[in-house]
Amino acid sequence: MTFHDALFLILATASAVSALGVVVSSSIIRSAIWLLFMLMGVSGLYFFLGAEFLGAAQLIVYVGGTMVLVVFGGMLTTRGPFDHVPVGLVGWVLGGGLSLALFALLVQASLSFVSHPRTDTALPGTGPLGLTLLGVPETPGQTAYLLPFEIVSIHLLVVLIAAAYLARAKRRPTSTHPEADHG
Amino acid sequence: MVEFGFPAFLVLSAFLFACGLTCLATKRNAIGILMGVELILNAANLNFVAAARFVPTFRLEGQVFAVLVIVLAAAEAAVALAIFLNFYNNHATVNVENATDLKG
Amino acid sequence: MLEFFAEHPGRLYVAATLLPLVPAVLILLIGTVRNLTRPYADVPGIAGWLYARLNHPRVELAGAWLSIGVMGLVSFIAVYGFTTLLYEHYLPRLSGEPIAPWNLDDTRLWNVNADGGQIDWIRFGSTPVPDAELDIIKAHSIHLGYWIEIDTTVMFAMVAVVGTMIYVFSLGYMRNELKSTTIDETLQHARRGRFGRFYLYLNLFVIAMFNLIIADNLLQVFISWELVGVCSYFLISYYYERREAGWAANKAFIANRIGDVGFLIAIAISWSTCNTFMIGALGAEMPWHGALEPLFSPTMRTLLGLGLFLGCVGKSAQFPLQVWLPDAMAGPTPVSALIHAATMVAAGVYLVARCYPLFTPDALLVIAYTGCITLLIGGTVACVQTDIKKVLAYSTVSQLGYMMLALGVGGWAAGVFHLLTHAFFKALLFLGAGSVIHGLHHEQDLRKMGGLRRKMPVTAWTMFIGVLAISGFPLLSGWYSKEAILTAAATFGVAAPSHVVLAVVPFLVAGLTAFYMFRLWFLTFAGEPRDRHVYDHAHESPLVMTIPLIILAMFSIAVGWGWPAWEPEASFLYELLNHQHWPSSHFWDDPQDPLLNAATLLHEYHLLLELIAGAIGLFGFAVAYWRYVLRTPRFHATNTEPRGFLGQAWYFDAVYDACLRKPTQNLAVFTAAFDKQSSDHGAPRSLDGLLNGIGQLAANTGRGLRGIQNGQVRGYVTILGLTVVGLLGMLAVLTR
Repeated sequence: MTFHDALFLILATASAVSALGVVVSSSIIRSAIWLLFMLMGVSGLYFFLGAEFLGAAQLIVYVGGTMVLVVFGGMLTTRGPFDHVPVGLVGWVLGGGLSLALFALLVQASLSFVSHPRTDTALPGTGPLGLTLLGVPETPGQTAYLLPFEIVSIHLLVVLIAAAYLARAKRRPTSTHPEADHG
Repeated sequence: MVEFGFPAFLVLSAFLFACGLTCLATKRNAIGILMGVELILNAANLNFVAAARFVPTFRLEGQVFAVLVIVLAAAEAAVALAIFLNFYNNHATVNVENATDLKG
Repeated sequence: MLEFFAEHPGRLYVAATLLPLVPAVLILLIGTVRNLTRPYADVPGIAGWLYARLNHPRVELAGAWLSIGVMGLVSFIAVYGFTTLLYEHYLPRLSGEPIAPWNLDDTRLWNVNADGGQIDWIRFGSTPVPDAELDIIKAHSIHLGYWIEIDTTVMFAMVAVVGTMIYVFSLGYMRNELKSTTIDETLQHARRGRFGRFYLYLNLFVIAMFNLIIADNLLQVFISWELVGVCSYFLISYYYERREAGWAANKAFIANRIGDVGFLIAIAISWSTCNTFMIGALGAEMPWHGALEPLFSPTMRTLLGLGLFLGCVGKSAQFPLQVWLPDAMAGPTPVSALIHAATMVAAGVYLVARCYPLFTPDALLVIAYTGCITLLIGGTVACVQTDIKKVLAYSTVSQLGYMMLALGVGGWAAGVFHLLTHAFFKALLFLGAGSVIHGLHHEQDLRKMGGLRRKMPVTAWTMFIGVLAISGFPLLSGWYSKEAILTAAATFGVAAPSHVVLAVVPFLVAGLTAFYMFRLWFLTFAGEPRDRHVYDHAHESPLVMTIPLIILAMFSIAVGWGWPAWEPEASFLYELLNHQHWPSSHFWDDPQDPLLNAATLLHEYHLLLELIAGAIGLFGFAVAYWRYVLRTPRFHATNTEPRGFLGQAWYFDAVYDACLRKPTQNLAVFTAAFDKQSSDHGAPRSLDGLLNGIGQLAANTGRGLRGIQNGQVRGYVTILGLTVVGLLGMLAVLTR
């Protein structure tokens, strides 16, 4: 077992165990912490695969941004210090069974995947990635991704405004029909 | 270089996906469901990056798509949390079983 | 204009066919406007003014006179066409070779197919496509066209002339309908007059009939056939308030539909095998007309003929569908004369004659036997009827049987000849009966008549001519045609001795014909009045009714004449028709045609045949004279309705009632009861239950499925996951 194999095993195990933790925790904050570790594990795997930019982006956007949002959301909507929402046995059996079956099928499909001859070339670095997002193809004639990039940026802008609008603090209605204004 | 090739990543991705699906199917807390979605997106992303590494034609595309997915996941989380907060304001709970106002 | 018709004289007939459309449309228009403005009759304004102008007997009379004028013009055209064709094409060759009708060379100018004779009606391709398999040119359109032969022109002229006479006669007979309020004689209730409607139907009817006569293809014939049928339906149910009129109309319509099934089958066969509806083209495909490799198999040929004949059985009231014709007397009497004696029922016979080359020997034999049975039924039943119109109706059935028999035994010319002569004297008889009924204020019962010759002499003596003609009195038209038929039947009997019954029955029924016709005349006009009240109020009909009678009587006398007049075979019309060469298919593969031999043999004895027929007729007359003149007291008004085997018309109605109507009705009642049966708590079972159950199932399914659509994300995700698992599992299993 080489160093790389060991590294992969460690990262994969960490991610998988954390993901399992997200599922089994009944406290939302604990789930969020497990998710944090899962995201970090996946980020490690990105570095492991040689996609440094993605690994960094994962850390910054997910761990630094999305996770904070989730934790804050959890804290804002939890009514007590140990607000558990337990899952019934039926739920476990149904959801778990379903997921296990799906997992088995996906594994079967993955293992039957006939790999290409192991090309295993090093991934292009951050530079080419950034250039292709700005519309400069890596080699002339290849596709560049300026348009998706622009669409995503517009999308983000729209989402930002929408989120700010939805979550803004509202004055409670003073009318005699409080249910007339639900948001 | 690595002994664990593409299939290993696919299996890990499948496991993450299955965990996400379980979250969606069992959690009653809206934020738990959001976390299930994050798990599923990460599973997909892992596949993209692994494909970029191991399938030559996806060298760049796999990464580009992964970037897009990360960005969109962040946006999705922001909007979802805004909606949940709104819902909490009106119902004092984020239990999705209570979201039945439109049920006929 | 004149060049247009001179170029293709057949166009004259198309024009003549369409001419009655003018009065028909006018009458329809005026009637519609009048009905639309009727609500505003008392309101001042243009609608009320219009109604007052249109709601006047003069308007209706103008429509009738216009119709009569148009029919006169059509008659003129028909006679002109007949004489032209005669002088241009037939007289020069009358002594030469017979003319084969489906060989259109001789009358080319009359039947140009490419330009003028036909128009494409429905086109379903740009050009004709040769069919390599069938070795024919596939048709690329359904066309309308005309096919003018000497029998066409004669028939056309007959319908036009008889139609004109009946139009004029109706002017007097239907006068009651001119009033804006008239009293129905049977129901004694007031209603609006329907004078215009009557002429509208008559016009529509003659258009359809003319089109039927000139049509050159089966589909066009079928269209006209149905139009004729529906006009007959309208006219039978003219007094639709009377229950039996409605029933009779339904009966006629249904009986005709049964026949039409056969006609449709024949049309389908002709299209599917020969790819054509053209009668001439179909005839050319028959092996006895020189087709080397016939497209038809022998079975198909026979089926085609039998199908056509089934249609004719319905239309011409042949056994076993003859039951509708006597009931159709519920319509006005001029209608009975026009439709149910002279023209419409003649259409069936005419079609058989027109399609003569299409009938195989087997089919012809069926036709002959059907005609034989029909003429026997009609002749026997007519002897006991007490309604003056019913006697004539059964007499029509019998005479139509004669025509069919003649056609069936190979006497083509004899059948068509009788069709023509019969049209004239049967129209005369019916119009005479109409005159009697009109003069007696709608009394139709023979038992209440008697002695009327003193009160209505013109009617009596013109009808006497008709009676003589139909009975086969020498030198009258009926004599020539009946002799021709009897000779044809006897010839066939000699040529095919196993079918001798076909020769014997017509001879015997000739005596019956004389008996029942003289019975009718004696009971109506001879002797002393049996019902004083009826007799006292009787009056002769006005001139407008008697003049058509006189004209028709002259036709009935003279239409069969030839030179020398005492030779039945020398009748000009018969000779002319005989010259239009339709070989019988009975013995087509026999080089020594037995029919020809028999004809030669019988020619030696034709005087003897005439004597036998005359003696039988005389015997019938004698019996009628003895029974109804010498022993007249036997027949009183106290007599009950005709009953028994003959009175019930061989129990046909009873048998149909018991075998067809009752079981159908019982089945319907049973089914309805079965369906309406309900379970204990009132919900219907069986059919209703089944249908309700289907609805309930859908409702329950929806209700059940609604539970899944519960708005819970978890449920949706679970279903989604299950679906994915199912699909992937399927994939994994299938690609193993």
